[in-house]
Amino acid sequence: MSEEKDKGEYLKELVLARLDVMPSNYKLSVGNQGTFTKMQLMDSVRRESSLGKQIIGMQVNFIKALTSGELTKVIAQ
Amino acid sequence: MEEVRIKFMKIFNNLPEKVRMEDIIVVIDEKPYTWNSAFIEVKNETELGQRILKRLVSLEIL
Amino acid sequence: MERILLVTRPQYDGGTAYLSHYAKLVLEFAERRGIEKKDFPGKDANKKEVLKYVSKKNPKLIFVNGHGDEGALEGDKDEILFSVEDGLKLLRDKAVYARACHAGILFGPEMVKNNNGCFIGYISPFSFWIDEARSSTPLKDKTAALFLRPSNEIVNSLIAGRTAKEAYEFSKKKMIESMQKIFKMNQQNEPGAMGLLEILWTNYQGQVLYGNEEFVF
Repeated sequence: MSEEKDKGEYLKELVLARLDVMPSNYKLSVGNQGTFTKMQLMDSVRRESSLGKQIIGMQVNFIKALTSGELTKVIAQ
Repeated sequence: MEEVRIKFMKIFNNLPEKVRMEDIIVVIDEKPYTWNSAFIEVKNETELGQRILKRLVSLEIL
Repeated sequence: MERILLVTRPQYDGGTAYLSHYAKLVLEFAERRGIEKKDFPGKDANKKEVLKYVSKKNPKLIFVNGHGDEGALEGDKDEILFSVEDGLKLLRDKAVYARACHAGILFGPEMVKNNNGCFIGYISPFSFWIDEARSSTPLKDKTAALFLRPSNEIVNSLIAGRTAKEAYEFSKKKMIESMQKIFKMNQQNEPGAMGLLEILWTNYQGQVLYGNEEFVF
């Protein structure tokens, strides 16, 4: 159980670091959730709100696309 | 761990340069590392490199 | 069925404001092509008005901008316009592009059952980055354009006579071009490339087409 908890915390840490490099004048419009500043997104990740979970999910999918080579293959078309 | 290291290198080899330079792939002791900076540690088989690999496995990135 | 383009453009929050401005470009394209169109801007994008028009005029192509969920498409202030429980019959044999979240999960597949219509939409949240410095002039926001111009190409392509499948694929091609543009960004002057790429990838992967792929407007 603590392994899983650690993994969740490490994943959040990674997602927060990835969000932190976004310019502060950028906002993200996320479907039916609204439009959010970088700080609001980071806060949602920390709190693991429904938005936060969506953000984590999107980032995990992106990383998987990188590691599988899928993204590179698509962009090279 | 050698298998994991090889897996990391294979993935790294297939990444565009911009992703290698800018994409943060792991945080260790509150310090973020891009693919490039992680590569340096893993390639040189440093202690940090070992920690990076273990973390990437636990995050199911490797 | 009439060769009419119907566009809903609610504008009640930051996100829908951007969608509304970009959807207007599609209306302008339709105008140049001599296509009859009906615009439902702002508060007009309500269930009563939209359904009344659809029943009466039977438009062949419907472009819904706004929010949504797995089973519904929404208009002004999140009012449900069409859902799997209500209004699907009105969409039989039509093409619907839903620039909204998640409607590709349930609404889309249900909409096209047992008829010749088609649905293009998303199984993930349709998302986009905005440059706040440009938010008062959304059409000049180069960041948002990376996401919204490729998505406009779905309807533009249908208006131009492409099939649903061709429109879907052309839009994806334009998303790839946006990704390639991001790769040319200079890290120092234009930071945030990876964040842009992530969201573009989400939209790319999440875009779906159901029903009659050979549908022509």
